[in-house]
Amino acid sequence: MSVLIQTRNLEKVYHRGGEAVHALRGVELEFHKETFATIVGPSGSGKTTLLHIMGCLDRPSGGTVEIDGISLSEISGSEQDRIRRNMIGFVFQEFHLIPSLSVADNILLPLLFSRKKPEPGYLDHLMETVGIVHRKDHRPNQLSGGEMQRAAVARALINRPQVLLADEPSGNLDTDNSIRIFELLSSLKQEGITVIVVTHNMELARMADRQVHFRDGRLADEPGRC
Amino acid sequence: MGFLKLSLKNIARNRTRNLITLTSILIAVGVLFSVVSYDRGFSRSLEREMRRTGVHVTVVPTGCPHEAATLLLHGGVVPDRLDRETVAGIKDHVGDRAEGYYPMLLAQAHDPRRERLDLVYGMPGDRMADIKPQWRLAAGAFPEDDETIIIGSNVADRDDLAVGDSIAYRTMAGVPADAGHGIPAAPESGMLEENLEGTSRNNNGDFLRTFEISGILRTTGTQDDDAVFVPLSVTRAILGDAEGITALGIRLEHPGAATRVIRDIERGFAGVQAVTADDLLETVAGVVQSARVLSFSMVILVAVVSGSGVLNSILMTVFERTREIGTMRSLGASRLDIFRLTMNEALVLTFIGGIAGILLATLGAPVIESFVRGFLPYVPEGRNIVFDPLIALGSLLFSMVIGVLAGLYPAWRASGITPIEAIRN
Ligand SMILES: Nc1ncnc2c1ncn2[C@@H]1O[C@H](COP(=O)(O)OP(=O)(O)OP(=O)(O)O)[C@@H](O)[C@H]1O
Ligand SMILES: [Mg+2]
Repeated sequence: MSVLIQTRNLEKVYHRGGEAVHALRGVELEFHKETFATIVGPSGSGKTTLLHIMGCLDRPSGGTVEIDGISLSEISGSEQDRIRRNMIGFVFQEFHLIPSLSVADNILLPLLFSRKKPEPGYLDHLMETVGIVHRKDHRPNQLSGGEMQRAAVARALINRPQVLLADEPSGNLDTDNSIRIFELLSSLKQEGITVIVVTHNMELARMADRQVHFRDGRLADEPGRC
Repeated sequence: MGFLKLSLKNIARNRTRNLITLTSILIAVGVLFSVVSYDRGFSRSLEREMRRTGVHVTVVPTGCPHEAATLLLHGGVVPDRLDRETVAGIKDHVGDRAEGYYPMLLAQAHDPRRERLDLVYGMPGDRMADIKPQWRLAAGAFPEDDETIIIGSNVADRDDLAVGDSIAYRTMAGVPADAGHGIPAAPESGMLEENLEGTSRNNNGDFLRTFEISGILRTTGTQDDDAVFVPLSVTRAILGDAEGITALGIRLEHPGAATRVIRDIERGFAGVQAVTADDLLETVAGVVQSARVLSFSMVILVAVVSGSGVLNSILMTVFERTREIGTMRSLGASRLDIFRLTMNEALVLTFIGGIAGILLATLGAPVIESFVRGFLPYVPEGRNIVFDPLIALGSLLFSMVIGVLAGLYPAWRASGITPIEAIRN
């Protein structure tokens, strides 16, 4: 299997007041296509930071990230937008659905930015896959946490991304819903999607093909490939 | 779903705030539309009214002729007079280019019984209809002799006067019997023969002369509504002097020759100036100009206020939605997309506000019109606000310009929101 994401000596330094916080200290990682990987590690170890950089939401302070051969640190802002639109789907712990839009409109929202027309039947297929067909015309605030997160997953998939990045997607969910979300995420590799999920839940993390352990902005024990 | 729908949904979220913003735009555009419409309509009606008048050239004593002309229109009394020789000279000079002459003499006359001070226009009684071809009588007929007069509709309404009623004016004692011959305005008409037979002395020793109302004018919407029109000799008797007239109106055979005639008159006679109906038009337009400047400053002021209202409202939604905007960026929205979404909101607000303003101003035109009549010195008769699609379009455009200007800063702020700062919090 070929490499989809590759980081080389990735560094991220935040400046808080006069103090520099080293969130990432030379991270070397590779993720292969069509795998389901989890990232685990203590709070503050830099998991979110890594996910944001791989998701083109933030830029590294040093080192490189490549997605499908494109070096993210060398491209312009609008090219970053394009990669976010076309290659990456993001799922957040707090769902971040737009409260004024129906569930269906929330899921379709990324198409507005990629100027694509919804493929016929794809919305229904997605809603069926994540199990929220009956909630199509509801507002997010009428949904349970599990349903909201499943809608968020559908939204992340509408543009048919190559990578789905999820930051503690089950952080606000109960056990049953957490398992459901992880089952859903793990099923996506069959659709050719690479899924990388940050979690604190070790049990859920074990559902993945591969677990990446983080500590103090570095990989803890894993060699960095599988 | 498109950008517009997304913007509309956002607007719908803050109903109260946006309704207030909408109202302020509505006012701004409504005022602009009314002012421009009125201005346009006013100029048109004024021109129409002026062209209809039977007098093409008006000769007045020097001083400021425009001021005098304005006074004439506004119902003031021009202090200086044209004397007998001058008038005769002018007539000689103009010769057969004239179709008719209309001497006019203005006075303020006191009616002690009604306790009114009336503005009295003296003009050749048998040719009043020529001077004011637009006049229509609501009742009665034009004067037939020196004892009959016609009155404006407001004068009639104020004191409940009807045709056949009488009005008594205080006249100067000791008026010479031939006072009316100062200007042989219409020698063929016997009406100008001064006649003091109707004069009586009241208890205070004043001379009172009684006139019968022969006709009442239909409302013209002009100063004529507040005036009394009498044969020239009557004004003369009221003023108690034999000399001079306030203005000499000339009806030309060819109105196009007016400029030439004016030049001849002004060259040939010192102390007089002649104006055309066009000049009068300009004079009145000048008066209107100051009103116009005032109203346009008002429009600018309201526009600035409503513009900052829009800016404030949109900026608030941007701050409130920082997180949402960050989410949209993380879903692939470009900076330009966010800019557009935010700008759309400003434009939708100003578009709806603009349409509503134009609609309301159109429906409320009669109210605005009567309001304007209350404070402008001279307003042409008839409807002055007419719906003009071009003005409507222009007003809408103006509204949208407010939208663009007000949306610029919030849209720029919104487009600067990074996904990280929004999602991290
Ligand atoms: N914007 C920021 N400014 C300053 N420091 C930051 C910023 N974002 C993160 N950090 C710091 O960087 C380090 C890594 O943060 P990060 O959020 O990546 O950790 P994490 O592994 O996701 O933790 P958690 O499991 O609690 O979510 C932490 O020490 C954090 O305080
Ligand atoms: Mg985190």
